[in-house]
Amino acid sequence: MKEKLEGNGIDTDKALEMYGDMVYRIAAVRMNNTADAEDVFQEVFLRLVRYRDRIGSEEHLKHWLIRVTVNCCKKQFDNAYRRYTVPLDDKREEPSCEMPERDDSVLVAVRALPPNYRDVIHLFYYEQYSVREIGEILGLGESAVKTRLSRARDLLRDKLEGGL
Amino acid sequence: MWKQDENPYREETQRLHAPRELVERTRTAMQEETVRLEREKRKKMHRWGAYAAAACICIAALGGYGGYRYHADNFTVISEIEAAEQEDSWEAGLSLGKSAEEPEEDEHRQEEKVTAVSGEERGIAPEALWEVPVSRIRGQEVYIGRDKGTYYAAWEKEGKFWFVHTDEMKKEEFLKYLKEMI
Repeated sequence: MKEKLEGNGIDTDKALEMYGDMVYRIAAVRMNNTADAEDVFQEVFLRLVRYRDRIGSEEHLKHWLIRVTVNCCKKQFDNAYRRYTVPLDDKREEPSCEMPERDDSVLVAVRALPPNYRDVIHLFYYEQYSVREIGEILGLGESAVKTRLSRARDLLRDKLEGGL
Repeated sequence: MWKQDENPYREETQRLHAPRELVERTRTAMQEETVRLEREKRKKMHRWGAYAAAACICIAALGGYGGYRYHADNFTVISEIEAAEQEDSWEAGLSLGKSAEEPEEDEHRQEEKVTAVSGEERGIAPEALWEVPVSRIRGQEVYIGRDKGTYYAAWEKEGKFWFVHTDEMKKEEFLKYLKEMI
């Protein structure tokens, strides 16, 4: 029999259904391969089970999930960097995320950006958060978010126009 | 960057979904984690319960012992007798024995158990005895001491010094004797 995962107002089972895609998208955009994105996905929801008592509201839950996903991606990226770093003469093809692979794909262009820029682009253009909200979620000042957004846009423009 | 009505990034990203198999795998892991956390919590509760029980036993034992010592040693439990200090303090630094100066006058045994000495000088009782905390019996200041099984008492009354000692009496008996003497 399936156990209901409830704790202090947060139904973790429901959260998995409701925010699973959101977490997966952030992880997939941030990480360079499916396995790492899936590891991040699992880690985020396991943390939710551990820390659900600290989450008070639905809005808090969404922000918490985004912040934890970004943090887990950073951690996983560091681990993945060590795991997949190989000497230049032993370079191999790495498994890539299951995503559209067209060269002119916006998603491919975003994934080619530096990791910090991917977060702000995703939160701004996909989750449609304001600069202030992105700052709150990522723990950045508004000016830092604006700078990252502006540089990310310039890089994206170069990539997309260059690709055409 | 993009026109108002088009957002190709959003359109492309929207097509990404968490694989069903990953969701189910995660759900199972979450259930296992919940069970593990519950077990850990229960274990922690058991541990705290044991600590709390041990602490209660310690407090009860110490409290009981303290209460026993208080009632056993505090002379105030004997009516009409006010003892300023507990019996333990009688022993502090005492090396009592016989009087430093053997009295030449008025030495006699009362009730054949207590040796009582009276004299004009304070020196009939050991100096150390005069230094123990003072007790009071019917308002009279008395210096009471104990050295192993021997009880000592000294006091001054109406210009006369008294020194009594016994190793054949228990504390209550000795106090009763002092009460009658003073």
